[in-house]
Amino acid sequence: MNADPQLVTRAQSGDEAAFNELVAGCRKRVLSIVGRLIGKPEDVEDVAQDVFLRLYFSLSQLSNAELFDRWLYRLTVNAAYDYMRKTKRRKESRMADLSEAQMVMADASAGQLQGKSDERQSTLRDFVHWLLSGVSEEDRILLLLKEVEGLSIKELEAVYGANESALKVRLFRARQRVLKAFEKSKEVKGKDGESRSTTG
Amino acid sequence: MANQDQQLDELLRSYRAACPEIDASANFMPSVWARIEARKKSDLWLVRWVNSFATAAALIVMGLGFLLYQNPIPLPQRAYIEKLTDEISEDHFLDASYVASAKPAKFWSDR
Repeated sequence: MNADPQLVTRAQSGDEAAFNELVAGCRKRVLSIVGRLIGKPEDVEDVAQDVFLRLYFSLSQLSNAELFDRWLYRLTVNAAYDYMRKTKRRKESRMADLSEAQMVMADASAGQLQGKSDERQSTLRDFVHWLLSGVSEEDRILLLLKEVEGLSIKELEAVYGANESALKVRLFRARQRVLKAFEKSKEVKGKDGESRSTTG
Repeated sequence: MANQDQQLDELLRSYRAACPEIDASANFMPSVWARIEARKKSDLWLVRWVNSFATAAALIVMGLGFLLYQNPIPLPQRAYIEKLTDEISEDHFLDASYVASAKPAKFWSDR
């Protein structure tokens, strides 16, 4: 995001134009992160607006303008977490057709997804959401920040205010759970393939 | 397991690519400001409510104080501890002469 510290300081002093400029500078990034974290495109804008609402009212608490990016990450994570807690999307998201998703997964693991149709991309998203539905909202967000957003452990430490070892343990456990679900889905795929070949 | 780890990494990377780039609508910033104003208004309402509650409480306390000042309640003549001391001194168990004159109790008879 890399916001200009001077702009942050001006926004902190109540300059509305500076706040507008600040939002314009990091809006796209926030929208993308929120989109990947909550996985519901129709609600992304609403959650992103909530992030900037929180930013407006908490900007005065930011002691150092240099730390703005971490601050914004934290606000984004909190807003996404609150949204997910409200909607309890884990219970809603169940894969209707897992075998279709597994085909997409196979493509994805073979690196052949590029150029595929929107429908396949949507199925891939659904499959990842399904995989992540086995872990808590907090762990899901943590895992996505690490694996999808590419944040380092040091950056995660700053966002969460937790120590390195605690984060590593949490990430390891969450990843193990996701791997188990991944393995299970492969077994289902194998059985599905066998039954298809016998009936065919 | 290592192979599955790699596959999962690949899948998550593909997920990033599969997520659509979302651009804000033209109404994004006006909506943010509308929400900020609404929040400010509700905060202002709360501050006003708290202020009026504190003012009303202060007025009630001042009114009660004034009433007490106008009609003072007479204080008791003697303090509670003084009255209690008087009652204890009248008690037989603390009277030394009563204790001396009392016969010792017999718990068993002589054979």
